[in-house]
Amino acid sequence: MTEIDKASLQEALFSNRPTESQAAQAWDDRLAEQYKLYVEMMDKVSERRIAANTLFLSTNTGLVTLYVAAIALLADLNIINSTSILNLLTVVVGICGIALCAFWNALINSYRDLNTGKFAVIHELEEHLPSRPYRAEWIGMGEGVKRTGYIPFTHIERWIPLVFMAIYALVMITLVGAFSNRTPPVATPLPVMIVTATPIPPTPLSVINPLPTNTP
Amino acid sequence: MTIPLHKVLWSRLLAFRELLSRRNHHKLTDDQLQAIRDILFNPSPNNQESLPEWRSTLFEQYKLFVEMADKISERRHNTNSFFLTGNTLFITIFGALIAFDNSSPGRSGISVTQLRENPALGIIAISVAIAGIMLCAIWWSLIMRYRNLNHQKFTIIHQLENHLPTKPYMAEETVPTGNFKGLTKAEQFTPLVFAILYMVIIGVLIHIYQQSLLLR
Repeated sequence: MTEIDKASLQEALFSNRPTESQAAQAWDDRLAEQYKLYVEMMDKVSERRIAANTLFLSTNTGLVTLYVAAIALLADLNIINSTSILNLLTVVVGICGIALCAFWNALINSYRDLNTGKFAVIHELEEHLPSRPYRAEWIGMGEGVKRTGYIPFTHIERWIPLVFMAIYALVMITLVGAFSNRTPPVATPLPVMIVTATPIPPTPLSVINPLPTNTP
Repeated sequence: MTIPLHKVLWSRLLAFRELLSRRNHHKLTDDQLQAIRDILFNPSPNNQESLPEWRSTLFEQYKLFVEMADKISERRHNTNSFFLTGNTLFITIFGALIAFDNSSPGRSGISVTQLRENPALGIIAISVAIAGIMLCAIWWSLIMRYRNLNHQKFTIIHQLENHLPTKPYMAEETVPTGNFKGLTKAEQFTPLVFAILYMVIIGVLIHIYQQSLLLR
């Protein structure tokens, strides 16, 4: 977040107000219309931020569901005992989740910067209108200075992805540790062909497949 | 821009204290109201012919500001449903943990024997519960923030209404609203209820863990 230079903002924002009274009147009217539109758009940005939060929450839910389903599938296929597969799955899902949360956090930060800029413009526009509700609100809330009870929404919301990130990291480390440390259950030994130096005498065919001795 | 963590935590603590001490901050003194008016209104025009123009633009601003105040309330609702979904996700994780090692018959959930064999499950469950408590703290502070913001908005709306034909929002304050104020209070306690649930889960888990240590 950078300090906003007021003078250059004003220079960029306003065109010259006409001196002739009727044209000046029209200029004021249009300024009011622009202000209305701009405030509405600022509100939409905040709305979209909430939508983005919901989207990321759903994505996290999906990721966790996927992980649990994958573990269940592995258990079904009877390859749950393979430590390397479990570890790989856990690490991949964990890193995906952490990356997702990092992206989420960056998005909230950029929404914050965007709205900071929008509010600066709104405050400037209000200087040319009958009243300055947003400026009054901003000053009433303590001008964004902490310790006055004002905490910007984005400053609180930033903690949500951080909490999720911590959960992913902790669960990933714990699970990998648990999978690596556990004693693999004793698997039923597969039949092994033993090759020895001395040839085994061939078993008579009658022993393997005895002929019926007494047929009724 | 990075702020050291201890400073962030300290400012949060101060803000929290401020919120608690501001319980009755809606009773503003005349001096405070005058200060708000000084910030809120730009000087009205001196000449008579541009006064109607001034009034009509002020009315447009009032309309816009009331609409935005309404949107803030709407967004508070969205925030509530967001956190409800988040908490549902966490509770789903508990469910998944209970089902986690159920693939082999004769085992059920996070039991004493299972925790002894696999303490990772307990660690995950406790960390999820702690994250849930943190989520509830974020939720609570967002609700408080929305409440504060809307309070500020309505103070400004009341002041704007002084220049309009009627003062509906001002008049509304004098009418007893029955249980509606209690409803917003109840909303505040929802995150608290969830936090208590998580605390109970942590307590139960610690109890089970102690039992499993005794068996060891």
